[in-house]
Amino acid sequence: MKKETLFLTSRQIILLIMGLSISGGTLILPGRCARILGAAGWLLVPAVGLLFLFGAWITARLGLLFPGETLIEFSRRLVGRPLGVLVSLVFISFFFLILPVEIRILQEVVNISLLPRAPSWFVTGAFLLVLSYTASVDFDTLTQVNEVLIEICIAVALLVALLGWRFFDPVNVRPVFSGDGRELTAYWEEAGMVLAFTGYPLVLLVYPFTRRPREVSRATVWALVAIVLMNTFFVLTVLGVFGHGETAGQAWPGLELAKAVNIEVVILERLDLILVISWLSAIFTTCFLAYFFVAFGLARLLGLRRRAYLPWALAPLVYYLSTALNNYFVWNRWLAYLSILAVLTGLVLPLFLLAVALLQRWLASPAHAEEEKE
Amino acid sequence: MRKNCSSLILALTFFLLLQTSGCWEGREINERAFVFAVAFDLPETENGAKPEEFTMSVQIPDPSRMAGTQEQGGGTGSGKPFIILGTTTDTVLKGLLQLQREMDRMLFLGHTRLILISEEVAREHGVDQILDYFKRNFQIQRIARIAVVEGKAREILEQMPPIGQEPTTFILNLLSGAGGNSLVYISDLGKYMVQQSTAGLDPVLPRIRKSEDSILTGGAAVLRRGSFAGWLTPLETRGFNILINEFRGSSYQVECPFHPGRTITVEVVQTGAHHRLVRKGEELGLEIHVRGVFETAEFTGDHGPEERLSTELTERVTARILHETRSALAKAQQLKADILGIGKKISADDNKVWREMDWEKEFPRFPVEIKVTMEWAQTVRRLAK
Repeated sequence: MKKETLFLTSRQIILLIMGLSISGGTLILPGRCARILGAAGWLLVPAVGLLFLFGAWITARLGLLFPGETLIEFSRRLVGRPLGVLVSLVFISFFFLILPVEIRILQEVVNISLLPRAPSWFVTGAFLLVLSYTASVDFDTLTQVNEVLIEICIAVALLVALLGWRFFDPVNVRPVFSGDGRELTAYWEEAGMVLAFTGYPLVLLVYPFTRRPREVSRATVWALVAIVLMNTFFVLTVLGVFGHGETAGQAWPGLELAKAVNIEVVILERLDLILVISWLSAIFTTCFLAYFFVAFGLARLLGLRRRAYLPWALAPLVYYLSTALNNYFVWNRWLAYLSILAVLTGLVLPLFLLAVALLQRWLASPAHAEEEKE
Repeated sequence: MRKNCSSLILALTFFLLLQTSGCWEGREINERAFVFAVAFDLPETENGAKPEEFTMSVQIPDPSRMAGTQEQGGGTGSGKPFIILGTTTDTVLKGLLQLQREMDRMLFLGHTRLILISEEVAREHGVDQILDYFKRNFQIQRIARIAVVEGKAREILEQMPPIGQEPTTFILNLLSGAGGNSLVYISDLGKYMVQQSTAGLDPVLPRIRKSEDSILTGGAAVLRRGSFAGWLTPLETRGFNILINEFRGSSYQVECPFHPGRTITVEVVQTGAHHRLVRKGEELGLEIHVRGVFETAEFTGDHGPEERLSTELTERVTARILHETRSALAKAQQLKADILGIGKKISADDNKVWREMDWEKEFPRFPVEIKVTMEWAQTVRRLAK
């Protein structure tokens, strides 16, 4: 990624954040919301979204303080080399750990919808090869691929959701406040839902490559708003069509919605397969972006001049981890653990770094120096 | 420009790669046995079947004979365009494995469009237990039709349609309300799954039965706790369809107000039922207001539509609709099955009250008031006799 050859526009940044956030997890999001809040589950999306909207804003503000640097560089200056490296590693780990679980979701979606008996060495292996190649190419190529694929994916998802409104029953999304109590362990099982909102930390790695750094804050917030609105619409549609009982009982409510809105005798009779195919692209965009930023971050952290071979070097580890997540419950638990990292990278660390940066600026300001003299 | 082009090519290649996935484990069409319909019955007791067992029959089309069916005008030739295989089992998957032993082709349920469950199986085993496999298998479409059979379900599969088409499509058309008389309740696997998992709503499935040499639809099976609870008659089903806003038009005969013994047939073309929870003192109740529009269609008397008929004709049509809707409600309360989703509405509108209710006990005596307002649309083609 060379500054002189790449300048990201606001639209590209929005689509990059969406490309990383809209993933396989979106297909299970309505089920999670229904299991947590029942009929009012659709309200959970804007509620959690609001929290991460704040996170997106402080992340963008933090990046704006260091427009010529990535997180890898400015974190070391802010909190010292050891802590800075640790912070960078947390971000890189977050992007890296998304990969096995997303690949595992892809394997499962392929097995349940397209190729029932296709082995993981074929599906995961082939996907990982494509991913490694894609993550090693130029970032501007990657950005443009993301633009094409994520837009197709969003268009298909919107089509499915809009067709679903033929069966929408408003009674299914009420009561808004039922007061049904849930055990804390149940919330933990569904904690992976926060990953639907946490693609925005990538802006901390792309600031030096943006056309107008000041517009990045706005683009980041707009990306989150779009993600929250789309997820709310999607969850509301699924709950309105199935009711919370059926939605909570499904493992893949997004796919079930596509199956439910099949139109008999028309070319769209198997709409679920169209959704599956386009959603594989959503998983692909999430994975190649995450993989790219892992390689990019590591190269910067280790001071490597070339990063193209890093994705190939990491591929065996990704393959091993993805095959270790051998069933729904295991990868769901993985997502719950990953949600801790998501909160760290999306809220805690940006807030901490922003506070340190503002404090340092205040300490270095002339007004403060005069106060010190007095 | 070159980079844009290569990006587009990369994206397209990835997208096209996904489309070719069907080649993996490709199976020729003549190596598959497409199961179009499945039927469940209780086994004959003299066969020594265990109580947990049922018989499962699958209908598989025979393409070589299907082509001949049309030529022979509705399958009147010697061979039927399908074969039916049956087995006794205690789970669906075990049954399929047993049937597979008789077939050199792989049984494929991706095109299964019809699931028939006999009344006895629905009562003894429960519809929900039978459908468990179908709910979990991703191959099965949510739009697969389900019906409860009064009598033997396998006999329905064996019946040839009166006009030339394959039998499953014929039954599917019957169950899809193709006649537009609203005497059939239209449902499918997806709808059943939603109803079954919704608190305060009991599922209903269409009824189907075999008469001497034909298949009859009309009426519906009411389910409670996943098992068969009782039947709705065709007229009760029509009333039920009005109450749940799934009415698709139907004709009614009423006596001519001025000529006793003569009938006027009206077409009710449209109805809408508005449900509202009302509280009278301490007691919560439901008010259902049905509004509808009808047209006069046929007169057996010496006159056609006249203005002086309007009031009394409207009253008589209203009374018929009221009677049918009340009958449907009474049957539901008698069977203790909340097929109208009154509980679901209370849960949505007044959740605090809902959580304090023991709905199974309260539903049979829950006060429901039905009001009907009908209107004569007066689209008249001919005034005179």
